[in-house]
Amino acid sequence: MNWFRGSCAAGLVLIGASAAFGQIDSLVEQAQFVFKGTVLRINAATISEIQPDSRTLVVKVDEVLKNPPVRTNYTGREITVRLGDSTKLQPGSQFVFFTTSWMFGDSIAVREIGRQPDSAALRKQIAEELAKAPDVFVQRRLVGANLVLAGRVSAARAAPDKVRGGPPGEHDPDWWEAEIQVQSVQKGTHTDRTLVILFPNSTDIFWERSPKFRKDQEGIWILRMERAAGRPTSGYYMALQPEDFQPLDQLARIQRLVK
Amino acid sequence: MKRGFWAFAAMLALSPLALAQYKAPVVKPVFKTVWLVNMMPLAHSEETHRDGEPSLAVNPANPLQMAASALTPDLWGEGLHAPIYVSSNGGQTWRLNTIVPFNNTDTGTGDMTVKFGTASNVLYAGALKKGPPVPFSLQILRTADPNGAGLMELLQEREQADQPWVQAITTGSGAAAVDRVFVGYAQMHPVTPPLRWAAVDRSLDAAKTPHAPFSVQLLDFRPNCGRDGPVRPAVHSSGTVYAAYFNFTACSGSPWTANVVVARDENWGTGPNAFRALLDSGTGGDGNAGRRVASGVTIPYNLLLGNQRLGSQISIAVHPHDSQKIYLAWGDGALASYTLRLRRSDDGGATWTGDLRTIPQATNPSLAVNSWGRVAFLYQKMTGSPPSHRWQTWVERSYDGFDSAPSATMLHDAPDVGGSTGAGPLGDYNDMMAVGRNFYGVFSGNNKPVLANFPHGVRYQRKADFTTERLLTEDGASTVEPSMDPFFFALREPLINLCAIRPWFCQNPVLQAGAMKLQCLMRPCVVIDPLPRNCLVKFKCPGCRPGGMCPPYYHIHLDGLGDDWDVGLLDADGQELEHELHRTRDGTVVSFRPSKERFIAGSIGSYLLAFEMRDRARVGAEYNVRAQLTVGDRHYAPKAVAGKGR
Repeated sequence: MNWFRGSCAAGLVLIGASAAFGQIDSLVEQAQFVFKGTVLRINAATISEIQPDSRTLVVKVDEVLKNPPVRTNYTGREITVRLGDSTKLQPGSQFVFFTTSWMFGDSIAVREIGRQPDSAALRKQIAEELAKAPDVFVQRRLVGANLVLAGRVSAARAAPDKVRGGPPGEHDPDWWEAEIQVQSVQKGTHTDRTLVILFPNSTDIFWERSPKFRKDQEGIWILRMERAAGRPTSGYYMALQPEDFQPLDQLARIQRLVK
Repeated sequence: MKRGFWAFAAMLALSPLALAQYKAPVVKPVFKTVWLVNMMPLAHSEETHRDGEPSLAVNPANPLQMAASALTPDLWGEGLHAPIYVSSNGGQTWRLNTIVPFNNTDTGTGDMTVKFGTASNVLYAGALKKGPPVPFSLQILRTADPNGAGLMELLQEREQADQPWVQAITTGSGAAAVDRVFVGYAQMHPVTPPLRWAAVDRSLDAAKTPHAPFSVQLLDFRPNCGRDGPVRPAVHSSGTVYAAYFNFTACSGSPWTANVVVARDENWGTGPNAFRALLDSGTGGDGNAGRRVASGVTIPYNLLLGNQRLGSQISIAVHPHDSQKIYLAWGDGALASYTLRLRRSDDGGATWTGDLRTIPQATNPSLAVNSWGRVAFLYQKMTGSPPSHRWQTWVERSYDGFDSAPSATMLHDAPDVGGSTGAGPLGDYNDMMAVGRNFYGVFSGNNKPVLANFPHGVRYQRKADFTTERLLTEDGASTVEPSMDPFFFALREPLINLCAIRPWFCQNPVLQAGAMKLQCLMRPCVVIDPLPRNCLVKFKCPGCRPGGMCPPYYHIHLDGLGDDWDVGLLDADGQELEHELHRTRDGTVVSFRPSKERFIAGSIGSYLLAFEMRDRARVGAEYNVRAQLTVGDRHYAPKAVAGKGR
């Protein structure tokens, strides 16, 4: 459970008391929607089909601190919050709520994953974490990568039949090989001048976001030894997530994040 | 004037039997004969995703409760949990509830289907989760509360299984009730050489905690070219389980070649010879388990009809009261001649009719059979020429197993939009099922709000302006580009039509003072109870006075029905009328406003009550139902009625 993830380690986070700010980074990262809100009603909901109980509240969104990637402005809206614990909140009380999506209907309902009293220090820390956000996904991929290198694609071709397996199904990755001329290694060890990696050439919904590589493409690859069940793909590095391929002009940034 | 009338009417009102046992009121919605809803909620108004491949679950124990799936991601992006669609008012409105225990950022889940146990209120799902560690895996899930905040529970995970198709049925009653859950899929286990077999995963008691384990039953023992197509199971309450699938025999390049196969099991898919009850015997048979309904057909695998991917279109349905009567539809042919075919077997799959229906240039067949044996055939047909292709969504219905021309209803007719990646704009399947005599289904289509695209009308939840034919953000401030949305439909089957065609299924009640007796000697069965006749025997009716002064509301209290009967209100022509249905502990209150159209001076008017026996009701049993009529000046409410009655 993500609920107050840091609270177990740092002791109980008491609502209304100072929070352990060391936890805020993970809350900001995990929460899709962070806002300052005022509790309007307890045992209540803004979606009629939700059966209200002691953990459902109607909260007015006073100020959005982290907005989901949507155009809708939720400021001023009354929404339903499902508390992550059994704390009794009083109408009129104000908090910064860290939440994820729960229900979308005529209104919205969110699951709370953290709650803090508002303060200048808290806002400063949230702002700092949000400023780091563009790097978070890349950094997450870098942490688990086996090999990070910069280079140029010298050839792209369908993988050998033994890798591609039998007749393709609808969600088959349609494995292709990309041969990379290695220019520099940023993480891991690779001594050869070339490296052959595997990538899914399929445009099926499962694979359409995975990077596709073509001859003469330049960039930075964040590679893993992925497991592809049912296929003899062991020994291949792969870059399956959109963040696993970065433009070459991001090299300095990648070098900074790798450290 | 009505108040004056009430001084008289209140004298006649009797205290309601149901009052003391009244629980929370449940209002039964009244649907039009054809009801269509764009399922995207208002709070998702700005989404532009390709929400294809929808699946639908209607809870047979409570048809107001529904759940559905589609390739719909969480609008807020990088969430932990994918949403499903839920409705608690019979599909009139839908919400998205993020209760799937994983989330693929772009699609929510991969292929996903949902079904309820028929009497357990438990929702089951089979859903593909995108890796890592494996490219994708199947998760079989359940929840007893699709409307709640709790995540669905993982029952079983399998690596590399495609197009999971879930079916569930509740057998037994009380403490002995069990949910038998079947998930058909094309198996692609990591075994060398790759064995890609049609399979059914089944649990014989999936509602219990811990649940009975799932067990993989392989279907295809014929040679194949390295894989099988998707599997569609159909389950009958007798224990007979069918599974339809493509046995691909040639799959290099395109098109591919396949046998269209139906396998059968007669004991819930158990035992060492599961799904081998139906042999391909007789002239031309190969003696293998699974009857080849068609051999060596051409499948344009992964080719595009318009923007729509082909290759896995197959559907099967079994008559709920005759386990030997089954219907099968699939698509085959080269791309230019690609055709959906519909056939029937009356002997459990041993022999088959020829093509009863052929629909050229169409895809995504779905079949369902209602409690009266009426068959419905849903499909999406491409019309026009490039680049002006359109997709029409049709439902054909037949009373005689498609021996004669069916009636056809077009639900949607809109341009083919969306990229040609993946499954295409519509997705690889849609879904339809029957509960009682009514059909319910989901399909995906172009969501541009053009009224002419919806011949029977439509209700949008997301922000839309039909005047300017624009989708809008929730606040109405910005335009949203059209995309693909899931649509829900309900097709109500008028009872009187059915009684005209199958009169032996329609009974009269035995009336006595303050009560009546319902009894059915066969299934299906409906008891038609004309209200004016009641007034002579069962209870006093205040009726309308000359000049059209009728009581504002009638409340008919029926105690003793339990959960064994569905009650409806009809006019003299058998059309359903607007009414409210309030459930009490022992029965039901039917509440309605008399209308001028049915006004008869001195009479209650031309109304019929219809009692339709549910599956759980006992054939031959006598149901003694206490009945009373009260009148009121407002919607039924126990205290208000009590005040007048006493």
